[in-house]
Amino acid sequence: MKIHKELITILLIVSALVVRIIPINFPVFSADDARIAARGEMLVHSGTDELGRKFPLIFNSLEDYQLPLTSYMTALGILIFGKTDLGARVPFIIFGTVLVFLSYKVTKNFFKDGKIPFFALIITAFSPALIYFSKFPNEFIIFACLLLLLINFLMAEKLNRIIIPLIIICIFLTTKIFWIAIIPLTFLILHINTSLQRKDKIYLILFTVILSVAIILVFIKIPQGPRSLVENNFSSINDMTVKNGIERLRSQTLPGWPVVLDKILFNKMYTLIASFSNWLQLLQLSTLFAQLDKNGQFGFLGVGAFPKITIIPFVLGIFYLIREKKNKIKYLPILVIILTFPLLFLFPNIKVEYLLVAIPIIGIIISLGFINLSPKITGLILSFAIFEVVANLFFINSNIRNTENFRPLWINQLITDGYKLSLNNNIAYSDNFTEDLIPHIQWLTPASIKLLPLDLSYPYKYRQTELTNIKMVGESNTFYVCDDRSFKFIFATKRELERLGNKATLVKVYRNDLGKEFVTLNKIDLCIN
Amino acid sequence: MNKILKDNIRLFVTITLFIIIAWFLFTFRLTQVPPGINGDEAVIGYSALLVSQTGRDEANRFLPLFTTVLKSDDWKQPVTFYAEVLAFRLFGPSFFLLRAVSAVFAIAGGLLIFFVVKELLDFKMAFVSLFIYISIPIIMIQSHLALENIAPVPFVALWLLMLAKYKSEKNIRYIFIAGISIGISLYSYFGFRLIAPVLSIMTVCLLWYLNDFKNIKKSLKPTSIFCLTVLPFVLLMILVRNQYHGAIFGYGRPSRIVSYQELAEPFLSAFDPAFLFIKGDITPYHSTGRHGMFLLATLPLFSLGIIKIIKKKDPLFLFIMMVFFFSPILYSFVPAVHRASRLLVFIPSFVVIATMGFQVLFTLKNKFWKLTLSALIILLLIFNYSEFLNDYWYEYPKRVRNDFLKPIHLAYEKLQQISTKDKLKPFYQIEMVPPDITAYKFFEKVYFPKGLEHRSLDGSISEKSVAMVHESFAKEVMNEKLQKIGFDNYDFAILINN
Repeated sequence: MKIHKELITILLIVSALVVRIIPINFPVFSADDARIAARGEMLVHSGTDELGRKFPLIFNSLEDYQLPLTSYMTALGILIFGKTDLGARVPFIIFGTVLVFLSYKVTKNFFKDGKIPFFALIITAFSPALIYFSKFPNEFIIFACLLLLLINFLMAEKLNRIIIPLIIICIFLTTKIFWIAIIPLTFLILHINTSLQRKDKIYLILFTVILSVAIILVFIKIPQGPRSLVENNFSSINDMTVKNGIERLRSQTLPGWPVVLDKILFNKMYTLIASFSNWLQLLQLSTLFAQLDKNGQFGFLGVGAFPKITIIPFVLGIFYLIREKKNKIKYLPILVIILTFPLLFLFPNIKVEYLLVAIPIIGIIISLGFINLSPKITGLILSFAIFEVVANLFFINSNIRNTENFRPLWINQLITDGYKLSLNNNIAYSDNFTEDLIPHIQWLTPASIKLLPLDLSYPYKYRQTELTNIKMVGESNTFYVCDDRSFKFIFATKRELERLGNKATLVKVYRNDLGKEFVTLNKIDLCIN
Repeated sequence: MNKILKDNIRLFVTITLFIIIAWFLFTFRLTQVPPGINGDEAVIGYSALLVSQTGRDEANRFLPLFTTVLKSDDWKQPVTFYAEVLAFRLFGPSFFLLRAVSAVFAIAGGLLIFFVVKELLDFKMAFVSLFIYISIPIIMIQSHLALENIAPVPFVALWLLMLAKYKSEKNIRYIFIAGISIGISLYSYFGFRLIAPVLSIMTVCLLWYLNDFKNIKKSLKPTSIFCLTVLPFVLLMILVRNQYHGAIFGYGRPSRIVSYQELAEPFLSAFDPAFLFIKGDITPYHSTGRHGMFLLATLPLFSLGIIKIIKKKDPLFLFIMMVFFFSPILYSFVPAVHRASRLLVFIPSFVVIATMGFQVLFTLKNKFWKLTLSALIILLLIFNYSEFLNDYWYEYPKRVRNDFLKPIHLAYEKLQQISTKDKLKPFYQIEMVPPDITAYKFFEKVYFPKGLEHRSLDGSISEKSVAMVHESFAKEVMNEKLQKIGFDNYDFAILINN
């Protein structure tokens, strides 16, 4: 019987691996994914990042600083499998698959026996969100995996004084949004785990608190560190719409309310309500079961974090949670709240990617719903769920077409053509047909970065605009006639074509993933400044 | 005997007080909030006015089942429409009365929900339910609009009441009335064509469950009576579908569904907490934009109520909870999200669930927590509701000024007052607006039943006359002989030459 159970577990984990591998080139890389992948390749071959820094601990992106673990993990994949789709994705496929096994282990901490851990395994193995995030370079799947690993170790009967601190350090080096969640999480798990000794608990709490404070202090020492935290992790206190809302409410007096009370209640309440609303929007049924990300950047279009049919066991799981008086499971909703509470501060940004960390725990709640279902109905629900996921993996074309804004496939041809031309000519690209083209060029071609001298050691929100013989043309750039080092070709959008007028000769037309003529390759003989 | 008398007095006082308070709240600033008439309100008002006077609508249909105005395919449902006809017939047409009919529906809904809670819990909780009901923003908003959205609330509440009565007394007449309620609700709001079938199927399941789950024969009688009662209402729709083309199923043009995956979002988004408790309807007509469909302060009560119902395992309470969560399931086929105005079917079950939440607080064993939490929730409710009222009555009209038609009724009213008082000849400047806008026709009939002369004013206002004119015209011809009345920066004015 034991062998039978183990065999099923292995089979399910292998299935989880398969759905994470196939198709290997899906989803198409976004600019951020391509940046991490290209950076990984640079770290492997030259030990520097795109800004020429030797093995740095803080990286840059268009929006924020990036912590190191994700980039170095990608580098590891590229080191083993080379500069290929598989190389860039394989670390995340592995993290995604390990996460599935860990969800089984964590569930076992709540339910020693029975089928619940198996159901949790199936739910996480076939969660569209977890599958999607296991297929491209990102910090969220690593974080979710490390978090389950931490929970698993924290719920053990004996405290591992080496592994646990290591995991916590890794977590701190993955994503900064959840830095503030680690202390309450440790508190909660240690509260659930009654078998640990008091001195172990104190040791661990002290370690977590000291590390949290130390990491935050180190981060804010970086010149733009505080700005990065305020703009990206606590945007609700920085965002103009909130400020305006408060100003508006300030100037509006309510009849019958004392001015002081009016200010305290309305000013502060507005921020609270706005943040609460933001948080609720991520944890709602339609996000979990209908549509995780409307843009398609972080999920299959028309698909929630879980297959639609699993809403049935989810509701039954909630019923079970409410009716059952078992001590440990009542902490599951609290765990979800602790893991997601940093999202409260993200207003007005709704970032579904940050929900990923709570998905495995919600998966456990879903698996609770199977307790009172007959095997036939359980089988039926699971079959439907797996079918939905597999169907979405088979029919990816519409997904690719409709997410071309964030994950453009059509630019590959244009980049390859451009690279060939750039070997003998200076070429230019309009910078407005995708979010950021440079990382894509770096990832898809051997084009090298034109390193610019850095004024700052940690520039914030940095955008690369030049590679060898390749230049991005923005609205502020101008074209002029010159004799030397002129640009011979331009991949231009309508904006540049209008500016160039009859100075450009059409060579080729490129259509985007929706089949619309979007960019043209043109012959020019102009300089750009 | 004394106790019965005491109970009846208590009941009478409660109902009377509720009606008075609700009437005041639901009709306060009724014609100012929202600021102008909505196009749909105008169609209902104008058609009802015509039928109340001649028995025929604009298309000359005699006592039509569904009605609309010429050149429009937006059919209006008979429940609201005939309620308006009756009101106009009894009290004479007015803009206030047009909207007040919705307030009456809202009050009727509240009263029936009171009786539902009284039947399910007790008088004390029923009393609490009245406050929860009255505090619901979407009820306040719909009571201020002469639209059909509010009309199903009393019928759904009556249906629930009858099911609750049937559960305790097993008297078949309650099933009959429940069937009638569902049948009429089909004619109360267009969206109920998608909700009533769900409620009917749920009723059949409940009746089956209540009459010995394993013995189908036993449940045959109540279920067939229910079905037979609803059936004529459905048949009538089928019979008249050609006569009122497009009135039943909206021209039979279901939205194009590209993938089954699109079905889940419209349904599940109805339960998005941020929509229900913080943001509300996405349109400015049915939401202040700053408050949810329900007050945020009722979210803890609603959550506690859900937990209590799940723990209680009472079939009727579970049924009521399921009504809340299943009733919009067919809205999956309507590709729209966050439309609170289409979800008023939630109201009765929401009130019952939130009242259950209050009951949880009132029955806490620890006195300290009982008092503290109850006081906290009540304070939050008062705070949240007063803030909503202040915003809805005074700020919202300014924000949505451009979303509604301009408040032309103010000009008509003034024109009528001045012409009657000073015995002046009233005119309407023909260049002002296209004369076939239904709202204008409605107001003209309300304020000038004998008709209002439309005249091209050619740069002057004749003596002993008063005219409704365009603001720019008023500026142009203004001289010392004329007196002008403007309307808060709107582009119409009254010019008096006395």
